[in-house]
Amino acid sequence: MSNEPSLREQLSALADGELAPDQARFLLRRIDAEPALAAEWQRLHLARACLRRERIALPDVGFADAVAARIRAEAAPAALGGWRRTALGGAIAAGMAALALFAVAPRTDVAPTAAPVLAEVAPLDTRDLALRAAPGELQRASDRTWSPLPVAAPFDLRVESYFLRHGGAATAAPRGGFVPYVNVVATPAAAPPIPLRDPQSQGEAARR
Amino acid sequence: MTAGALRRAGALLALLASAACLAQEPQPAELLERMSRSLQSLEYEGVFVYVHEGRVDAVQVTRTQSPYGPVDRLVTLSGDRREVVRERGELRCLTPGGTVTASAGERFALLAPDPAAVGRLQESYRFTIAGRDRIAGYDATVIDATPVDALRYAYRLWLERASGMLLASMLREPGGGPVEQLAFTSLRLRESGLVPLDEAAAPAPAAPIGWQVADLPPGFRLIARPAAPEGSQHLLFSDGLASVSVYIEPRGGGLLGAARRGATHAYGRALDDAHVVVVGDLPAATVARIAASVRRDG
Repeated sequence: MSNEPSLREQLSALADGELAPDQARFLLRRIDAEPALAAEWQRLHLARACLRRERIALPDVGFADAVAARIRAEAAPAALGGWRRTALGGAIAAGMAALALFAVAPRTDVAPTAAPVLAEVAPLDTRDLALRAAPGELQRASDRTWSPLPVAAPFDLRVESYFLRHGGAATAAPRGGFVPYVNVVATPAAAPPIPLRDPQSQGEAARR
Repeated sequence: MTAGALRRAGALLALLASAACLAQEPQPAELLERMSRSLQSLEYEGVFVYVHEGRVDAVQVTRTQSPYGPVDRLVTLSGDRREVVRERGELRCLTPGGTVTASAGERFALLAPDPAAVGRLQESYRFTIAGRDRIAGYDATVIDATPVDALRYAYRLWLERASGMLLASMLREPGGGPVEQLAFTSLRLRESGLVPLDEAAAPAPAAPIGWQVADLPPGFRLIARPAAPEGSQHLLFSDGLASVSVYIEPRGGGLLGAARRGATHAYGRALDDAHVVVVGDLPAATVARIAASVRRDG
């Protein structure tokens, strides 16, 4: 498939940004669906980067394949726990590595396995995500667009001080130790302004 | 012995072995007490990944014990360099925008967890063992803590099987998605050799003077009154998993409205000549509700 001369030319045109939009969308969809074509696409980028003497980091195709195989191999249980479903929201945004790390479901079997086991991930694929995602929340990889990186919140001494003092006090609580400092040290994201509403009514809404 | 008898004996042995394993499986309350003790008394060094608000941060953490209390150091390995250091009762947060310092309060000695505090958890959460897993090379028992109301987060905790050390955690909005996830990718644990003080023997913190927090979620109790500048009060409440700070300060320059760091929310409001700020590991609506309930005595 990827040996077709016309297809190579199309890939090359795609890399140069010279393919018509409709053709580009069609080709990107094929790259998503055909591993051989994806490998060709990657080789093309590698060759171009080498020519330009760029230092690039390519994804480990073997690792990605193994994760993908693991995802496919997972049977889709009828009663997917809320944890497994919801774990993916943040993990997709974090990329495949974070997905493999966090979207884990605890193993209930304890039989030792001889081969190294990749982190288990919930059985979803990009088509599934595209169907479930609210508009603007998640996008298919084939869209070739990324959400903008969260902007760091502007430094505010008073606000930082409240969080820091809370962390310092909560370190002696049962879920203490280093845990209360984690959100203090992590890069704060600039949150969209939260409207000042009557907090009493917000609190009432939270009651069951 | 015949082949059939051997098979039956083997099956019986397997049954006995699995029963023994189940009998040895610690209960959630015991595991949580171990977690609390480990987080306080162990020495550890590792790297964890923290997912929050659409960001992924890698953070290096070191905790050592000294005769003056624990020494904590957390440094981000991704994004801007940020660092939190806690030593000899002083807290420093170093960021590209500036450095914030604060007193870590009087409770900086090594404290053993109060078993009663862990026991009280049952008032606010239902605990189940979700299974077993492996994080950063350690075998983990996975515990789900499901809140009894919609006022706090649900927790999934990965606890190291032998020590109870927290290896990973996920906090989830009531009926919603994850708000914060943390998992070690590498970790080294050491016994510190220091004997913790008995926290249960410490005197209960005095009630706030002139103020009351009228509407705390059930299960929350005042557990500390950390040091605060003159004319201010800092009250720390906890339900055993979540903690919330209430700051009551003279009016002027404090937080107005909402702010957020991961799963921790803050809400500030002016109240007569005072300023009330609530910071807690709780959903935004709960934090706002607590802030709204702070009022003067009488």
